[in-house]
Amino acid sequence: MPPVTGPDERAALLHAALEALADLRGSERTRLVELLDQLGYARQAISELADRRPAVRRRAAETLAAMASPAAVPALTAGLADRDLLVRATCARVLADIGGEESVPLVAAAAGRDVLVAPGAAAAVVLALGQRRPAALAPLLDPGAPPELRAIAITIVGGLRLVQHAPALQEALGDSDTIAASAARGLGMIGESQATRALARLALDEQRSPSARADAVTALGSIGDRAEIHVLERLIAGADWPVQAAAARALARLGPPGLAALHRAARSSQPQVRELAEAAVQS
Amino acid sequence: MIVYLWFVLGFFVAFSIVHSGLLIVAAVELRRYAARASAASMRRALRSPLAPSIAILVPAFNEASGIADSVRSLLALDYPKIEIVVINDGSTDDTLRRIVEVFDLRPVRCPTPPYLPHRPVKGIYAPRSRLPLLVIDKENGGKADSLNAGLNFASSPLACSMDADSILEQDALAKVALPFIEDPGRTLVAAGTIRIANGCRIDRGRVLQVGPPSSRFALFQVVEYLRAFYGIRTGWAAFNALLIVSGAFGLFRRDAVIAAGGYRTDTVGEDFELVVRLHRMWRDARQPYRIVHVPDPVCWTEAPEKARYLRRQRRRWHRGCMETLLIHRRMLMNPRYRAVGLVALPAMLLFEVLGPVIELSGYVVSTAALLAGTLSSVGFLLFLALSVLYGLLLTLGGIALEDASVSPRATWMDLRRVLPFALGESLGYRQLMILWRLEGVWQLIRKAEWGAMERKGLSAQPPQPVPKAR
Repeated sequence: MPPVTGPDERAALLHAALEALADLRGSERTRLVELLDQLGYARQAISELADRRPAVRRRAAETLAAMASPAAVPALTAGLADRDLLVRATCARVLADIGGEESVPLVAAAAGRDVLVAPGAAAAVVLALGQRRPAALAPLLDPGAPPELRAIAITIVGGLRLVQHAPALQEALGDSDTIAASAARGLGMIGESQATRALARLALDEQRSPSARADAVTALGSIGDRAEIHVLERLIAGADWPVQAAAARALARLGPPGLAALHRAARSSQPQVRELAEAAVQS
Repeated sequence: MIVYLWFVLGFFVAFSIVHSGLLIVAAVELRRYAARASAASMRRALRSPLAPSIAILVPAFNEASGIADSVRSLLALDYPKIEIVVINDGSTDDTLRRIVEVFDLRPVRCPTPPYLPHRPVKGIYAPRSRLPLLVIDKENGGKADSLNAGLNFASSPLACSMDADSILEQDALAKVALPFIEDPGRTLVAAGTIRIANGCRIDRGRVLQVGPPSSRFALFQVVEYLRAFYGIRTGWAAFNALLIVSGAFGLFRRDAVIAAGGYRTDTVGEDFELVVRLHRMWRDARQPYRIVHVPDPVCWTEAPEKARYLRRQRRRWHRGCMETLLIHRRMLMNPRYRAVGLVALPAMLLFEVLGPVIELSGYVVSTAALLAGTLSSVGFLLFLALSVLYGLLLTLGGIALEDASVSPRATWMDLRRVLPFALGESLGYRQLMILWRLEGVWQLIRKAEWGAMERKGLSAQPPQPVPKAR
């Protein structure tokens, strides 16, 4: 490889390498990171993380994030206190990925501090934590955690299907409608059979929003517990269309007993219930 | 007469100040966007479990020639979770048969959800395979009605409205979805950028090469669109006062649109009206929200090349603009609506609705003043030069912004080639648009019907005129 000396050449190579690192995995990725390290990019980024220009610090944080070099942990930890939101968020995300146990509370605190102004950046941090250290999400799922951060953590637990946090999701079913809906979706994705009673309670609670109830019903269908068929049969004849439609779809997933319930619903005196049941049977 | 000319001069100055300010703000916003938008950050966001599913709503009226290519290109978009909902709006050609055959669809039973009213559905079709495609065959009711049907049947939390004959760039959906991933609680709408596809080399629903249109009218519109999307809309969005999200490419939170009552079918500017209504509802409820413009994701659309179709389009747009302002007149100068009520809507009223009247009357009065001897020939020429110059500067500003954007595409558009058209736009095209927009005012008063639109089609097949009744 020809020597890369000029600043423009170095910048161009770094730009291309960062884009490539986003896609590379395994040994190819390791080799490219080593090459960048040999060319002094990690050292340069660590020193640039203290630069006075935010744009330079952002680029440095992105470089360290892409290289995921353990040598950068002290600089990244210092970066959690940066004045610039993007620098802080990038440092927190990469620390969640490569930092040790001692970094976890710092990273969680950084996510909590920025969650109101940049929920997406905080979500990226929580996601990295969930992927690398699922246990570290426990404090974020606690009812005492900042509500916005807790909502994100609940969504991520479901998305990553982190079964060890299913009890926390079950507890969240009693929270606000938005959080309860997210928790219900998560329980459905995990397939948590212990949660069916709580999900059925949410689905039947007419004080809750139809969308939260519909999500609970969908989760019941995903979990596939036939013990709740009577609840779904009751809900298909209810008054809220999203809940009724979700109940029809859920029953269709429950095999012969569910189909039998749908056939009964298809004889309902309400045209809407008949229509939903017939469509679900056909699907 | 001289007093009136001073008033018109004041109008030009106000227009220049507001629009130059918007271009400057847009330049800052484009710079900020470029600093944040890297391919790596986009890929990271899209791998996130927080990336929401998107329903792409494709209203189709007599689109038999291009519908299959359109759906194929949508299915190939770089986005992990999509559902495509094609709404056949009572086509009188083979649109339905074509899509059913190409994608091996079968009729399915699917009860009509009661969220939004629309014309009766005749049938629902879904693929035998696992393609994320749903086709709704309904009675003709227009684009707004079709979008309401699509919103009803879609199941994704986000809905992307587009035209059947428009083409989305491969990563356009991913880029326009980013604001919803970054700030899911507050983002209601994300608008993309529309570019003119006339002159581009297109094959099977993909733009292979960007090129200049052969038609002068289309070339003027290229310049016009660059200014509008990279300059004006990016600028307004920085103040959370974006009023227009093009019907050809906009991403909406589905529950928000349903809560707002969907698209109105009694106005020809349904996309504009919906966005203003969302501003109004969220401000009334004192809920935080964002309506953003993403300057990078591009949707290519066909511009009318013939004068009569362009005239029809502009009359319709102008009528839609006036109808929306009439519907939401309570928001004008109302501090409750912040930048939307105090600046964006008054600017829309002054520069877009009243602008044609003021500008045309300025030409008439200045000519009369020159003939009557109350205005010197130097003064007259200065007046004309000012009116041409301000348009020219804004146009060049829009082109410069496109050139400075994250992924400039108009490589063919060098300054030597563009200058005559920018000048031509200010010297003849704009005045023609003024006349046609004034016709829109007249037609609103007379409640006239709107004619069909001719489109050549954007696929690689030989161009075919397709009547479009909207």
